[in-house]
Amino acid sequence: MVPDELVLDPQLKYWVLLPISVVMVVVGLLRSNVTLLLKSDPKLEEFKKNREKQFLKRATSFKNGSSVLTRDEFLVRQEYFITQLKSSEFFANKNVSSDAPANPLTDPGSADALMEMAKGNMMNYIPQTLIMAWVNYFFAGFVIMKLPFPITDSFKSMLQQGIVTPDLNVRYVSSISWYFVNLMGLKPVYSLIMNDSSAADELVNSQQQNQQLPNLGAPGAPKVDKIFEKEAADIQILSHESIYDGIIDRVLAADL
Amino acid sequence: MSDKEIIFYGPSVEKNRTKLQYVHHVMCLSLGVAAGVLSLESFMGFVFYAAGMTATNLGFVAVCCHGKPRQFFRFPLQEVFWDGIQSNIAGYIMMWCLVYALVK
Repeated sequence: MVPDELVLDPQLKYWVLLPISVVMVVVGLLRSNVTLLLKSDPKLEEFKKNREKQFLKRATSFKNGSSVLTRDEFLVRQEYFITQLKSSEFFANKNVSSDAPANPLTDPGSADALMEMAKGNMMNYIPQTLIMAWVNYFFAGFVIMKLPFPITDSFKSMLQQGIVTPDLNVRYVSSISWYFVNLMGLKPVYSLIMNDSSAADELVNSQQQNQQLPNLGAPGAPKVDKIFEKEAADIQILSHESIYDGIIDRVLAADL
Repeated sequence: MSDKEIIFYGPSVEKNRTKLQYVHHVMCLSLGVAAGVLSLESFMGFVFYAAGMTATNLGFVAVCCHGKPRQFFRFPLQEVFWDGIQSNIAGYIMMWCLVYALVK
């Protein structure tokens, strides 16, 4: 540990600190725009498939929201849904064969999804790697700033990369650590500039993206008829409790 | 459904959260600038951040929620007070380091 202060050239601030910050912000914004451009248009879905999905959604909403119906309405709908779910009326392709699922690599739909994923990942990693290389190459080998808080010595090898002063206080760090601080701390800046915090989240948490839910058509998903059957069984055993039961007593008793 | 149950309207709750997040983002950056200008070091800086954010949240509850955060957020204590503090600390540290380095 060295107790005395190091004197840092003030020009370092203007030619190292600020440029790195500006470049990181601009590259982040650019990245979000390019990602938007690269995203291909959603393809039109076959109407039968869509109808199948919508009908399933309708059945689910009925299951969840049945309490707003009166007893009679509930019974009529319950019967309707059970018959329709058990028949093949709403299936996308009527003769559902139970053969092996299609090979995901030959299926054009999943190939597109894979391509999308690859594009997204590339847009995440290429700029990061480039900036890191740029920082490492241009601003290597000198101390640029003093952190306002002490950190443990174990960070020394990472934060003082390329500085050959083994006993230097860990609070003096090189440019790469400013890069890391920026990497973690820019989220509020992005979300203020873009006026949209979810886009900023997406920009910062690059790992958690591309978790599209598998739906009916996806390879490996359970067969439609199985899902419909299960839904029918669920609706069959649905116990109905209407919100109108005893509503007069409740309204009169409520202290509004 | 014997006892009363508060039902939240999703989009409204979402809008409230967006507003709260906006306040948090602005405040964490400005607190960072303030801490840098004041040249706070180590422990004092974090205390300053926690105190500043808590004061902001109290102000938010008093002004924007009319003192009744329970009507605007599902989990007021966690959403208003805890989430903002722990998710924005990185932004605060960034601004703090930057302005501290610029001022020194």
